Amino acid sequence: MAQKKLRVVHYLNQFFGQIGGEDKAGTGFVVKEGAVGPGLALQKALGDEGEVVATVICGDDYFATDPDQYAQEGSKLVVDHKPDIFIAGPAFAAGRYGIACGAMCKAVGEELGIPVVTGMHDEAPGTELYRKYAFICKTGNNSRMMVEVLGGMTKLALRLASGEPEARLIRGDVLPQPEEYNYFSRNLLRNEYTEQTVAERSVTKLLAKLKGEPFESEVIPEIFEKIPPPPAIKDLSKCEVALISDGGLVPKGNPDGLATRSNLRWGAYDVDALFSAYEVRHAGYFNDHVLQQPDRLVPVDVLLELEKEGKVKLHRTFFSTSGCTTVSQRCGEMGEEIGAQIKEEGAATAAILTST
Amino acid sequence: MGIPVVQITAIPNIPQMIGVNRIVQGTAITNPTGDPSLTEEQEKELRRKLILKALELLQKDVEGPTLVTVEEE
Repeated sequence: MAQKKLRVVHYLNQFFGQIGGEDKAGTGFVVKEGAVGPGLALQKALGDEGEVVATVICGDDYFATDPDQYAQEGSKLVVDHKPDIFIAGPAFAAGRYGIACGAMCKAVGEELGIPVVTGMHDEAPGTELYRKYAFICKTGNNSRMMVEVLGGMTKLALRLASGEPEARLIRGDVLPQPEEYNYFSRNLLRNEYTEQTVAERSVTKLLAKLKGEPFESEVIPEIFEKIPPPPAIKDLSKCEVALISDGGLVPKGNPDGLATRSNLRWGAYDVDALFSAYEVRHAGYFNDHVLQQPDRLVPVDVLLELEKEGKVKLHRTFFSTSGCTTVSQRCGEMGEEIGAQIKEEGAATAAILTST
Repeated sequence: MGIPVVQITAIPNIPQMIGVNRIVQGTAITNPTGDPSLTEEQEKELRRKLILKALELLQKDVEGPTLVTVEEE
């Protein structure tokens, strides 16, 4: 018996969607039944396994004015067609189009949990923004390779839709190798089976290195995203400064259960109460100096002095975490959570973060 | 855009690597804003200098990771 064809929805911009060039970039969402433009090559790559049931099209300028909002709007149109797979672009090196493809993949993936695949050049702004949320196949910087790229994207999408667990992964997730399927790593760490122990692999690689032979490191250094510097404080006397520390100073009894190593939690504490009874939860440094005098980590005394002098105000909530062998991803998340709480409280307009 | 943050740490090369934009060189890992080898008065003076430096940096627009030390004065 023939297997049911997978339903595929394709996203394109106004140009590839055959609405028009830059003069039509302000066009809003349009849905066309079936495949359009590059969608014909996508349909060919899918063969009997899938059918492009609809093409969602949007102008680059229209989408770029508010990608998150328009991704939600576009995602609803995609959902209406009950897809099994969502394909966007490929966008190659395009700026606005790449961001639109990435944002659409993210929104559809979060809404439906189906495979979302797009294609971009490594220097396209959408690549770094969305590679954690979508399978982004690597492409060149122009559309000459459209057919080949769509072929690769289709192969990956079908592999994902097959639901076949990956034999090399211990948990059996459906997560093909980025190298094998030529897509940008999504930074998903998984345990996998290997033939050789880590000692054997290390020695093999070391010997290769000594002989000047090629070898591949299993540890890829993390690439940190650039953080745009927030603007400076204009009038310090009106500024309320929040204190944050990763040195593990918490109220006596550790109410939020911060761990002394590989900690994943943070707490918000009243400054006055904290300084009357405290302890340190951090196994990465000698705690005595802080226990003797917590201002050595959380400089409350000087800030209260400066407040009295009218130079600056001290936010009375102190934000505490313990940063000892905590993975950087969780550190980033905690930073965002603390930042969100500070914004919600609405009082502090700057922060001093002390680190051990 | 978020609010400006200044980090005081004894190991500034870590925040520099990560991309923290405003950094002040702290005293030591075990006491970034203090120094147990000083008298109480001297230590508070040192802490005041560090905090003033940090506040100064919060009032400066920076392009990327910027490190300042108290000794620069």
